[in-house]
Amino acid sequence: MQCKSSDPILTFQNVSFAYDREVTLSDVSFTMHRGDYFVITGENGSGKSTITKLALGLLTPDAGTITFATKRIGYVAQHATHIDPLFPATVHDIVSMGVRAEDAANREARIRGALEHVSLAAHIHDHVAELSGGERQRVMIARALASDPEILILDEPTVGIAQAVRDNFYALLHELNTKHCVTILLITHDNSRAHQDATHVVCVENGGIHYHEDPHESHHHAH
Amino acid sequence: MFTYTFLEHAILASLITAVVAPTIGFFLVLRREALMADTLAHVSLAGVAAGILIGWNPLATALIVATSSSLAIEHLKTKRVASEWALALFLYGSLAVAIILFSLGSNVGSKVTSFLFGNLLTVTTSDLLLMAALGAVVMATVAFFFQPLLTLTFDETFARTIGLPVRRLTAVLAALTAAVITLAIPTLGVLLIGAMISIPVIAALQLRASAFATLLTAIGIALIGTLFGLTLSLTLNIAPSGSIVLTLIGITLLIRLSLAIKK
Repeated sequence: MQCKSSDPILTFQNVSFAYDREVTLSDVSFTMHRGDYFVITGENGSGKSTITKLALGLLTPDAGTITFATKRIGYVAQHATHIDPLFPATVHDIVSMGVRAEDAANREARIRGALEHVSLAAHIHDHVAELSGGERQRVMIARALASDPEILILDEPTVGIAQAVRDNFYALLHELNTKHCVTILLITHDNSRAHQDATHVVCVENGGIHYHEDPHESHHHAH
Repeated sequence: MFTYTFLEHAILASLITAVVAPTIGFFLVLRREALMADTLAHVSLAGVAAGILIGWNPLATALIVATSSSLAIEHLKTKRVASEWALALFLYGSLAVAIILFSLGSNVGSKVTSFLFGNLLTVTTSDLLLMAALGAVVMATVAFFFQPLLTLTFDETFARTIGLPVRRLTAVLAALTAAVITLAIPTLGVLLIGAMISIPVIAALQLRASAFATLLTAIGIALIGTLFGLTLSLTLNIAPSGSIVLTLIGITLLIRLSLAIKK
C-alpha cells in the first residue's frame, strides 16, 4: 500500500517558545506529510518534548504558527507505563477513554479493533495492574489508536522498557506506518532502532533544529 | 405515627446519602482530592449558620455557599494557586465566618451540634425533598458524563489532547461535590461527611475491579454500612453518624483481611 503523499499533515513555521523567559525553542520550522515517520531526537532539556506539547495544544507558541491538517491525533505520553496500580481500570476501560464522543456508537468495535492492532484482544477484561510494562505500553498505544488517528504522537514511549520489548514496539510502529498509513511523530533519545524505520530524523539541540535528514538518503545536515 | 415518619425520613435520608456520596467520592479519591470534600463540608457550615440567622432552610443556604466556594476554589487553582493553599484559605476562612454567625443569634449556637455531628431525628419533609432532588441531579449528571469524568480522572493531559472540556468538567465535579456535601449534612454532619465520600471507595478499590464495577461496589458497601450502622444505632441507642462510619471502616478492614487470607 502506498501511504506516503505530498499532503502536509503537521507544519511548524518559525515556532518559538519560552518557559518563564527561558527560551526553549527558537524559530523551529518543519513540515510532516501524510505517511511520514518522524523521529525527533536530542539530549534531555533540548526542547524536544516541548515540540509535542506545542503540537498537542498543551502549550501556546510565543511566536510562529502550528498547523494540523487533521483533528484525528493520537497521543502516547511519556511514562505511559507508570499507571497507578490502585486505579480501578481494566484494559477495556483504558482503551475506551480514547474513543471520541462522535464515535461513541461504535465504541466496542473501536476498542476491539485497537486491541487487535496491539495483539491484546485476549486481555480486554484484565485489570491494568496485572499487565507487564510492555503490555501496559501497548494498552496506551491502543488507547491512542481507538480514536482512529491519522497521526500518532509518542513522547519517549520506550523509557523503562526492556530491549526485547522495545524491538516489538518499533515493529508495531513500523507496521502502523507502512500497512495502516498512520503518520508517526516519535520523540525519543533511543537512537538505535527508531532511526532504521524513520523517514525523517530531526535532531533538536539548544532549542533549535540541529539537523533534519532522511536517513535513507545521503546525510544532509542543515545547521 | 410520629415515630414511623421520623424513622422513614431517617432511613430515606441515609440511603440517599449512601448512594450519592461514594459516587462523587469515586472521582475525588482517585484524583487525590478527598480534602476538597472536607473543606466544602466546613464551608457549608457557614451557609448553615447564615440560613438559621435569616430564617431560610439551612440546607438551601449551605448549597449556595458550598457551590459558589467550590467554583471559586477551582478558579483559584487555574490561577496557579496551589490546591492546598486554596483549600486552607476556604476551610479556615469559612469556619471563622461560621463561628461569628453562630455567636450573633441567640438560637443559632444551640443548633450547631446537629449540623456538626448530623441528626437524623431533625430531617424534615422539605429537607428530604431537597436531598432527593439534589441526589437525582448528581446521579443523572454522573451517568451522563461518566466516560469523560473517568478519562479526566485517569489522565488530565490525555483528556486535553482528545478535546475534552477539562475546565468545564472540573467545575461540574466541584459543583456536584458541593451538592453532595449539602445533602449529606443531616445524615452525617459536617465532621463526618468526608467519611461517606471516601471510605466506601477505599474499601472497593481493594478488590481491583473495573471502574464501573468499583463504583457499584462502593455504593453497595455504603448501603450495607448505612443499614447496619442505623440498626446498631437504634439497638444500642448511639449516634447514627458514628455507628455508620465505624461500620464502613469495619467493612474496609474485613475486605483487607479476607484478601490477605486468600493470598
